[in-house]
Amino acid sequence: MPIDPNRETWKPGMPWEGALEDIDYITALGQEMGGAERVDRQHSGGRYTVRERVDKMLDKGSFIEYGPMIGAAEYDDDGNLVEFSPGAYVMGLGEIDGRPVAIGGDDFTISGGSPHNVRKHPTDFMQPLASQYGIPYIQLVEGVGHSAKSDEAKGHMGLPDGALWWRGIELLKKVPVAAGIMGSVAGAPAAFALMSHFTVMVKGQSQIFPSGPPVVKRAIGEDLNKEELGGYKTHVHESGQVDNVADSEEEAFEQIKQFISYLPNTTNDVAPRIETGDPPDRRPEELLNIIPPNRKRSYDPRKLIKLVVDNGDFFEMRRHWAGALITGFARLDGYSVGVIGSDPMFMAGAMDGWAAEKYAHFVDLCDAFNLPVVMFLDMPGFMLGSHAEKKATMRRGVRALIASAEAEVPKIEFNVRKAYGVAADAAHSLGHPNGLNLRFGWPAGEWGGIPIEGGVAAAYRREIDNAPDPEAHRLMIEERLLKLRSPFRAAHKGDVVDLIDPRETRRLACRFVKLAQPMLEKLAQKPKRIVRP
Amino acid sequence: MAGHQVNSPMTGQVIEISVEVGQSVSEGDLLIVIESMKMENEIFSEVNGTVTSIEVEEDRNISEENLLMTIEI
Repeated sequence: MPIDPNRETWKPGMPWEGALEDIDYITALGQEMGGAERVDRQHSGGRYTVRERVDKMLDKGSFIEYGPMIGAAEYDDDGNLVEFSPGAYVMGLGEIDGRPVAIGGDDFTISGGSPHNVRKHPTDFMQPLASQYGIPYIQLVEGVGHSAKSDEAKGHMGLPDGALWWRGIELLKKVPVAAGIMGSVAGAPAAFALMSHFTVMVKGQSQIFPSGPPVVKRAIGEDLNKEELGGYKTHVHESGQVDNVADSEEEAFEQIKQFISYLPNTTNDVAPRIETGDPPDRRPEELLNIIPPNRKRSYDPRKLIKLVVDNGDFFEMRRHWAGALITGFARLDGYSVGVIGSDPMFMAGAMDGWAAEKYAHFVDLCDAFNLPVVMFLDMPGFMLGSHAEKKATMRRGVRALIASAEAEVPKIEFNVRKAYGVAADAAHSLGHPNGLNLRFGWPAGEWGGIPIEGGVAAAYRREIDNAPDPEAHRLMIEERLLKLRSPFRAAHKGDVVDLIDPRETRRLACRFVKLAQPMLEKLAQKPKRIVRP
Repeated sequence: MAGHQVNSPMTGQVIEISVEVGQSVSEGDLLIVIESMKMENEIFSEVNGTVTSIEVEEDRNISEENLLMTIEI
């Protein structure tokens, strides 16, 4: 519906009916976004428009839009509207599963989502709304930021004062912030997207970078297409810049909804309990034999986690990055928990610099949102070798340790197999020294300052070298020490609360999470740190 | 036709090569086992195709990101 230049516009003093007609008329003009041709282009690229995205995210009919009439409006001398083009942002209040959220997104059909002559920005409504009312904030980002054309229009190049960001930074301290990266995103919109607790991009459709391929080529001569430069392989698998990848926009929306579902509305609340119908005393039989007797062999750690949590529902975050460590959300007896696990199938579960960073971030996130942490540890220590050294593995490992010690949320830790050295101490430190170090051991549990194999070679080097048969001597010492590795010996000393039948894991974890609830209520009242992405 | 390169995700030692040149493999098939951090790490195929080259042999020490084999898809 293009604008009708001959239509008489309502003016003060005219009957109300005309005003109501104009509300519908101008609102409808705004709904056309950048016009039929631009909308078609959006669709033919396999992408939804921002209005379709908002519709798909929210409960039907729950959207209350801010500023549907905000736009560049021109009136003729008689006071009739002759031109209207809407602002390039859609935002408002909505509901997801009956829960209020602030939501908004760039309208890419208007100036490619770039700011133009109409001021319509999330800082005007969405961000203050989320902040003041304490509700989750969802941004669906598709824009390329500052346009050189706008400098020409303004006649000067402004010196940015940083004022663009403070509300977004405040939000990170207060409410869950989730971003869908819905297309090519650069410049300020890219930074807005990453200023989130959770980010997801769509495979093959989303890219994110400070500047896209033409600017890169001009600046450093690198000739890459946008997917190579900032697609999901670069940023979800390699750099860890973006948390998750989705196969479709629908899946991205679903991931955002899931992420939000595990968190409370603010950092001063505790996540609501949801009836899941999974009995807390369920005994997962398969847990008994999930760890292979041969300690060189792996097992599927996600299967282990899913056997324990309610209905096997585990929402994993950063699945494709820093694979030695698993982080995600689940429910136990209906209560939200953060889950940290090791993946023995990737670098044997050893903590490298990236895994340490992933650990610290996730612990910070759980601490900020008052989520108790459940751990399934099988960590042989820090990853060794030159590649790990180049990731500043120990410095980041120390950071992980500090994150643990600073966090006040309680944890329950199941030492399902290995826990060696300072790396495992990061996990052991969570909830400690401020609170109870609630640790249980499985029969496969083995732990210590250093694994026996490497430890013997280092500590008994002179004795081994001087032996008539050094290899046989080394094996003899190892044999002797192996007996010490029995988890029963540590249990006698009280290193664990108890050694348990693995099938008891769920029952204990559910009891712990229930026990933790009153404490979480108190922790929620404390001031919170910002979770830095 | 494109050559899919299988690179080592970690530094360690090749202890078993489970495929031969010319063999067709499916996604999820075991290609190679690397011992690292005292664990046997199984590397599975991410693609369907035919193994066209194997760049390592058993007992060889390898570094993270070393090319292990190429699969034509």
